[in-house]
Amino acid sequence: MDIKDLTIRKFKDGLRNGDFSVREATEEYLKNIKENNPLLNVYLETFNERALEKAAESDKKIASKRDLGSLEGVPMAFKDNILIEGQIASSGSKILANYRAAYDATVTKKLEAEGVNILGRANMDEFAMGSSTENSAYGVTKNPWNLECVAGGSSGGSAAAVASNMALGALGSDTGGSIRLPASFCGVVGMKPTYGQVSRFGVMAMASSLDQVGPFAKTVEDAEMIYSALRGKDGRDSTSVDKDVEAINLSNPSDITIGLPKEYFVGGLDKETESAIQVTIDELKNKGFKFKEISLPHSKYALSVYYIIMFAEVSTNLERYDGIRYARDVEASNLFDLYMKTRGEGFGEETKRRALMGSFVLSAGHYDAYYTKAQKVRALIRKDFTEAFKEVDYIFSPTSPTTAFKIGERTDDAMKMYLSDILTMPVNLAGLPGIVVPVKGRDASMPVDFQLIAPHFHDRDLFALGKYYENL
Amino acid sequence: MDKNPIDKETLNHLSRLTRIEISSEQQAERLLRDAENLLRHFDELQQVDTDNVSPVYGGGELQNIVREDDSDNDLQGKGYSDFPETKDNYLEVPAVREK
Repeated sequence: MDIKDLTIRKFKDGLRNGDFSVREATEEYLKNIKENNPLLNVYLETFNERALEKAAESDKKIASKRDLGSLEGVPMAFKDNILIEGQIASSGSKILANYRAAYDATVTKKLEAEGVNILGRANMDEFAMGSSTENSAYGVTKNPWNLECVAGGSSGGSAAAVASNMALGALGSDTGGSIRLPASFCGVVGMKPTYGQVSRFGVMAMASSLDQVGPFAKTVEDAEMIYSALRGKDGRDSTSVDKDVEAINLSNPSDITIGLPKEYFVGGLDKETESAIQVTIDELKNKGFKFKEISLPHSKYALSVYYIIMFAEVSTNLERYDGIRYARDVEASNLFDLYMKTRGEGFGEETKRRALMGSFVLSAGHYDAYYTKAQKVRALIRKDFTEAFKEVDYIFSPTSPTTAFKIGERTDDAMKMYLSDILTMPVNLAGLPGIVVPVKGRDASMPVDFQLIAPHFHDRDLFALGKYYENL
Repeated sequence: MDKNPIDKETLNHLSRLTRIEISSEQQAERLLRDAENLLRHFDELQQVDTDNVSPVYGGGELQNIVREDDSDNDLQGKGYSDFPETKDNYLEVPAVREK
């Protein structure tokens, strides 16, 4: 079998036709990981024994044709901030190097119930804070297309696992673009669901008003299969909701108007990205889709709003890593010193920066000027989208202004790194769903994904549109 | 903004507030430099007219949720394994004050 051409759809067909067993397929993936992981640093750990046991269970179910899941035997990579009972979950941080999850995240439970075989923990920026996976305490993940480039972040390991055939699908989390950016840099499909579609119970919180879990896959159809298994209300995450809107019928594309926000296209786009995006627009126009320039006037403030709110929520969410629970590596004679040392030695510099800035913007003298002001402008950013969706059905844009950048290129300037997410973070601020899909038929060196944004809860429209494009 | 609102003294105060030791003089300098750049950038928000805007909190349209007061027991006791040091199911911590 050749895993290079495999998709989840083909994997399911292959199992049904008896072309291979889950065990054989799993062994192929583990073999590829053994060969190529040292080069790319995609997985922090693989669960070889567990994966082969799970594969045998799946083969038994297939033989007896009983209790088959919708993703039976599908080998996947999980971002290292998603709990799997009994396994280490380090969130890319030194402070949790030895922390073992005491229970399963809801998404782990749901996917395993559908037969997913988790091959291992995928690398990530520490606590999901970064755009390049360079902030991982366990080394950078390299881009499978060019080893000198980053895979993007923060879910860089998840994206690179799918791109390098080390998994058929992956889970990541997206707070400001952490699924969509690495998906674009690695040329795979990535999707951030509407806020509330997927339970975050058992997923380490970064910025709770922005975080969502979502899928990576090679095709839009595959991503939708994973999404369908993920979504739904969970009593353990009270922000989760049960609202599954049926996908739009695309038999008449000329009924559909797609908005191009002028603020997303002014300057800063590199040539490769700009031309790939233009080719896609033309292709869709030829099929009858209508395109219309729109304005999201508060877009230029999204970066400030995003960073202020995220810093604040991060500083709060990180309080729990205190050396008292989860792990203790340092010696101290009193509690205060234990906290200071545990967190001082356990957190990387970007994590420190965000926690410190977070407590600054939340402190009494600065709260209104920064935090409250940001929450007000956030309301205006949301309103921009609400107004836009009165004029157009969907919004189309590049995923990032550039293709994957070189390792080390943006590490010494926080602001430069933060700009990588400029086109993805407004979606999180508004709680909207967004999908990124690789632009087809390019012979350029690095991949480019386009981004489609839909109104709240129209997640399935994004899959419908993505599949339409893939089948052109 | 005339001067960096985060000076060295503020940084030390924040470090104690967040219980995060700053590893070195160089790290302190990098954190100060980036803080200045970021706060200068954040100042752009002061241009936005938000006089009649209510701030939004949370990521979605949150609704009040009620449920029966029953216990969901499959997680009970599992948290103990998170404790680095325990004694009879109690969490052991160093003394709050030095002896």
